[in-house]
Amino acid sequence: MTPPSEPQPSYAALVVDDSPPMRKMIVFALSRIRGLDLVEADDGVDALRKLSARHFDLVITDINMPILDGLKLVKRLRADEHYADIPIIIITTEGAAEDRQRALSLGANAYITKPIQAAQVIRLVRQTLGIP
Amino acid sequence: MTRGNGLTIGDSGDQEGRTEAHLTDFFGRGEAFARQLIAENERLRRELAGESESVPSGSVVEDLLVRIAGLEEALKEALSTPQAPEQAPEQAPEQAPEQAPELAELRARCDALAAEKQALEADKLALEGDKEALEEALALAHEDAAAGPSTGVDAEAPSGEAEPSELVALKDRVEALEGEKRALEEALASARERAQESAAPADEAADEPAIDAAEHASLKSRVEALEGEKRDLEAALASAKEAATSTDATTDKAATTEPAVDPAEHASLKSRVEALEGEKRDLEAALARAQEVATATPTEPAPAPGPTIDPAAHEALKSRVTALEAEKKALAADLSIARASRGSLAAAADLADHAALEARVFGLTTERRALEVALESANAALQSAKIASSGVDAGEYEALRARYDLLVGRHDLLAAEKKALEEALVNASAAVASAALKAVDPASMSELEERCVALGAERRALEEGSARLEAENYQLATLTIAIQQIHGGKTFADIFQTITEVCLNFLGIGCFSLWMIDEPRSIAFPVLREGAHIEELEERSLVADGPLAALVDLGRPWQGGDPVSREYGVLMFLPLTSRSRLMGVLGLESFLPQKSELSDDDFAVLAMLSEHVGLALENAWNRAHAPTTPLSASAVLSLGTA
Repeated sequence: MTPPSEPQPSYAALVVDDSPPMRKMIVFALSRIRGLDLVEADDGVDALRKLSARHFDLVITDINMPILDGLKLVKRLRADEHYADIPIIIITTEGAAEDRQRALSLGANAYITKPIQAAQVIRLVRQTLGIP
Repeated sequence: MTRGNGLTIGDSGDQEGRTEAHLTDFFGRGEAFARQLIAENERLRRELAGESESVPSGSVVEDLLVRIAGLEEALKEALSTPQAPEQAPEQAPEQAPEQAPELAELRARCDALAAEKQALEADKLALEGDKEALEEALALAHEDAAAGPSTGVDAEAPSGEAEPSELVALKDRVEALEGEKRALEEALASARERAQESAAPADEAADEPAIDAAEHASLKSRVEALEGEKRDLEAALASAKEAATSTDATTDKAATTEPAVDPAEHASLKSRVEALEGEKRDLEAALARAQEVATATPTEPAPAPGPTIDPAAHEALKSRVTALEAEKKALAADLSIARASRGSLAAAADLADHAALEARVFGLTTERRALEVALESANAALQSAKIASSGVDAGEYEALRARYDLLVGRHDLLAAEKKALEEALVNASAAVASAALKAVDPASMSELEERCVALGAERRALEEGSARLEAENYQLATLTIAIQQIHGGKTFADIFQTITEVCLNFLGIGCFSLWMIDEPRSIAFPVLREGAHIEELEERSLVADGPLAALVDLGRPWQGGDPVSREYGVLMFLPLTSRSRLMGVLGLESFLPQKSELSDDDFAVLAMLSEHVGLALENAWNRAHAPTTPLSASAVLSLGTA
């Protein structure tokens, strides 16, 4: 009988991006983190629906998305007491300083630009969730 | 002394000093109240008129308010404190002649009260004297009562035996005195009733002058004092009767056996008779005074039944104060209305917008709550449906759930035990290592240190290699995912979308264009441009000298080391081929702001695109133009699979 492995802390992250390959790349990179459950969402509305269905410890979202973009998603989450404390990481192609400042002022915790480096995203997610 | 309002008040002697102090306080409060009213009136008038300049105030109003406040204060003091008139001003204010009659009445009232007070104090002194006499008599009676039956021979008592007839006479005298005492007590009670009756009208007229109440209180206190004296007398009388009875019994008993009377007993009885006679005199005096007071009270000239100020004037002043207060309230209400009107005019548009926004927010909030409730219900239904669709009934589900929880708890216990064992093992290993180090000689120690340094370097190299492998792994994943996306597209639109996402997200290309080939015409024409207007682009010839002709000549997908055609003002022209067939061209024009150059990994992605996008485009083209033949055995075999 194989002894049970040491229990790992369990986290859940929601990856929001309208680009399927980008979502897959982010999920592929973060799948290296043990105990991190990754769920994909197509846009802001899909993200809100999935957030209401279960608990998430982290939201990673793009900005330019149809229906409900990333900045509006951040604003909605920060305005709702249920999601006000969830860490939010923005991953976007928008690299201007004013875009970064606007996202952070709305309540995003971190802001990184595409193209991403897998190691950078992994390090940031570990730091945000307090995973050693 | 001249006050700020122009009133002049005299100052001479102690009485005048008290008067001045009283008047200073008196008019100071009135002046403060009047100035407060005037300032309030000024402010209200200014705000109502919307003027910044001050409006002149009327001196008539000011004087009237001063007088009203002063009279109000005097009226309150006269009604509440009977002694206050003693400090009433002896000299009326020169500029308030209307107050002179009221002040004169107050002064007369004060004099009457002072006279009454002196009379009451005299009565009090007399009663205190009576009380002392009664107390002395009571003390004597107590002494007699205590010494009567058993004391020895008095120094003044006859040494011989007393006659029985003399004893009987003394006893008769005691009885007579007791009868007189009872009569006196009855007379005293009657006088008290009359005093109470005379005080009753004062009680009934509670709203009447304060001096009646004071007189009534004085009479009541005197009656109470007399009642106390009466109780003392009754107690003394009871003691004396007891002593007399005891003496009688002894005497009767002695008479049956010894006709002679004890001299000591005789002396005691005589002393007792004297004491009772003294008591009688005192009671008669007290009764006379009480009757005098009781009979004099209703017949004395009744004090002024009402306040010292004319009730009509008082009512007029009260009406004036009420009217002024009502006027002040009306002005304040007008001011509030004016402020509200001014504010509402200024903010009418904002209020309308605000109300509309609030209504909108309320509607959205309500809608959101409803959606949340519906979503929760849907989730609950979904969960129930999941359980139901899994073929597990609720009981079985709960049993499995309990079993699962049990196993999880067991697992946690084992994990904790394992962790404790590992910590113990680490501690033991450290202890062993420490002991081993102590046993190692210096040379071996140096060798071990070098070995540690080497292992550290090796570890760092391994970490770097691991990071490099991770990067390569990520790069391969990027390529794999991109290829999957590219070949997953069934139409040109799907493939164009994948190209856009790869260029933006993976390569950081902010501006690029996609060209397709018109083979009959040997030209390339633009079909997609990101980051700029496609109308700016024109067809390009594939045969003339230029970058596209070079790509046709290349005859294969682009590879690292091949030219990128930067001399044509672009980052790169990338051929999109299906084997040797050029299907299209990807023109990379500029980076995103955060990107400055292409890395080796980027070139690997570009090589992949060059090879696979052309294939995908060709497949999409063929799929779009293939005959709709069903996938059947005959069709498959007809293709010549052998």
